[in-house]
Amino acid sequence: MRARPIQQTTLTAVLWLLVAAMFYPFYFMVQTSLKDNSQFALQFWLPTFPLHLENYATAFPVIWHYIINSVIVVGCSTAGVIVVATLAAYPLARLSFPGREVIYYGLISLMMLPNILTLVPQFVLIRNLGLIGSYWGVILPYIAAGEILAIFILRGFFASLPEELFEAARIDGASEFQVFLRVALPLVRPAITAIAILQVLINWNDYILPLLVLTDDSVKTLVLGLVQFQTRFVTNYGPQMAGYTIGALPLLVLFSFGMRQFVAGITSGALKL
Amino acid sequence: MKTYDATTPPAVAVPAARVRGRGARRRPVPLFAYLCLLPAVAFAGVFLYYPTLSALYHAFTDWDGVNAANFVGLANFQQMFSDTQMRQSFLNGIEITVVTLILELIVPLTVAKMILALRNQRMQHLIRLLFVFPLIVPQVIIYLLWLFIYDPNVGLLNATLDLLHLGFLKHDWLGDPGTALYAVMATGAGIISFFPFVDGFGLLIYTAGLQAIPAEIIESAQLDGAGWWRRFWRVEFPLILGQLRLMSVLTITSSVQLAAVTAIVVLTGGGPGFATYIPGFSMYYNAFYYNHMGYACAIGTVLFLFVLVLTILNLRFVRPSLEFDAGGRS
Repeated sequence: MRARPIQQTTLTAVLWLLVAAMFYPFYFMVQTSLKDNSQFALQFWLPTFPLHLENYATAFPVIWHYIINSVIVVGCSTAGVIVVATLAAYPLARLSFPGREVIYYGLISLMMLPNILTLVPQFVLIRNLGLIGSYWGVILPYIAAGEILAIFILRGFFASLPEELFEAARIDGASEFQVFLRVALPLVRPAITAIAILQVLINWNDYILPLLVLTDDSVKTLVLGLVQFQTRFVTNYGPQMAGYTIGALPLLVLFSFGMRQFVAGITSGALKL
Repeated sequence: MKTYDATTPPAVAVPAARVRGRGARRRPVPLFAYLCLLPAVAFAGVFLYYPTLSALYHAFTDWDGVNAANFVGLANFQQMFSDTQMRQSFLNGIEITVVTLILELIVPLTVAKMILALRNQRMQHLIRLLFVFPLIVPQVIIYLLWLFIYDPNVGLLNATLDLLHLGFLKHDWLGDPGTALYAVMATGAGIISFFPFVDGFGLLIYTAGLQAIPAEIIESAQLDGAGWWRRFWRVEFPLILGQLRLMSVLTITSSVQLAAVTAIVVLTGGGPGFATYIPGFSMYYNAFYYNHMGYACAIGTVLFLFVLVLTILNLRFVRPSLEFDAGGRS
């Protein structure tokens, strides 16, 4: 393309303007989180000094156990999805047995199922199982919802591995489970990473099911806690915004270590539908 | 697919020490396969198939979630079409879906093109990454920030209007039935990204599509004297139809999913009046505030059929072009 410096400058300026518009709420969140109420009233737009870091000290104890709860729920459900889905995808991809196609399509067709349809009976089921107020009341449905796409992705990965590897292991006397664990599993690690990222993102942000199931304050997840937080610190904007900032940090830290995998992970979500 | 056959003798001589291992692999493979599949099938059966059948059945009953349900035929569906609250929900749902769909098709694509037109590669990466950033901020935090933006007393939006001497435009944005639905849309409504609507996910999909177009095609169009706009419409647009259709289906289906309900629950609770009710929210409200679970299942069934029809249309008409695109890429 011919060099058109003015055009390039305009383009860059417009893009940065859009970035600025998008980040403005986050800028506001962080700068307000460092103010007390009089600073907030007097200087709305710009950061003021002294910075009131004690807002974070006020917010942190309130929000801390919600973060722990989210880590438990998201950690268990993600681990569960990976275990259940790798176990299921392996025979679906590499072994032949009666009923394989029926089971595969029976599972995969659930991708068309909107989560809105199952919400009400799922809630009644969880209540009948006595899981209201328990982490398991959300972990188990999360595993069920997450395993479907995971099996679809993993089956493709397992199927693409060369058969010779498996034959070699079997000739060396490996049992079928050892073949799965030692040969197949290490080779699909990229797919597992992508699935884990997708699961963490989806379940960390989930709101409606936890709202219905995790009714006791001691088990509430971060997003539930944050909404309560807003009513607790109604006009005390400093601690309120400090709480939001803390709430945004865990995933930020987690994914800043693997932005490339993160991008690959969310794009693999496009396979759904 | 090739699978090994336990009855074929091994082509190579196997040392005696390994025979026991080989014996182990002669155990019937189906048992191993079924054991591996058991947890996945059990989870799907209990938490997906059973609730689905339960929802489809209870749509024809007066279920309250506790007592035995009575069969009421099509009464729930008839009620849905005479209920003013439901009519408002459907109208709002259609309006939100149409607006977010248009935004999702235009804004991220335009920005994807703009970023690709930058000559500085590192700048391209940096800006794209910044637009992807909101995907890792919990949606609920974004809604809570927008609650603050819309706050009638100290909110960012009204303060900005004051600053620009446009005080007469100040509003209780989420409290006024005339503006509440648009205020919800500006947050993305759980369907797309918030203002300025540069959805990181759409951006990545469109960028992948645009980058897959071979440079020779664009160059030959340039040599033929096609201008920027003509090149876009005649050359690039047809080649990213697959991506556009994919984003259309994703946007339309997510407008009836729980993420959209979350936006309404956190931002407005459906109010003022029924101004921000959407079908999914009506379902949620009927089920969990009135215990009208049979009615809620009927609403869920209608939304399910909507998604099903859309998915089938997508599978029949969209996949071929996507595969064509994928083939062209490699």
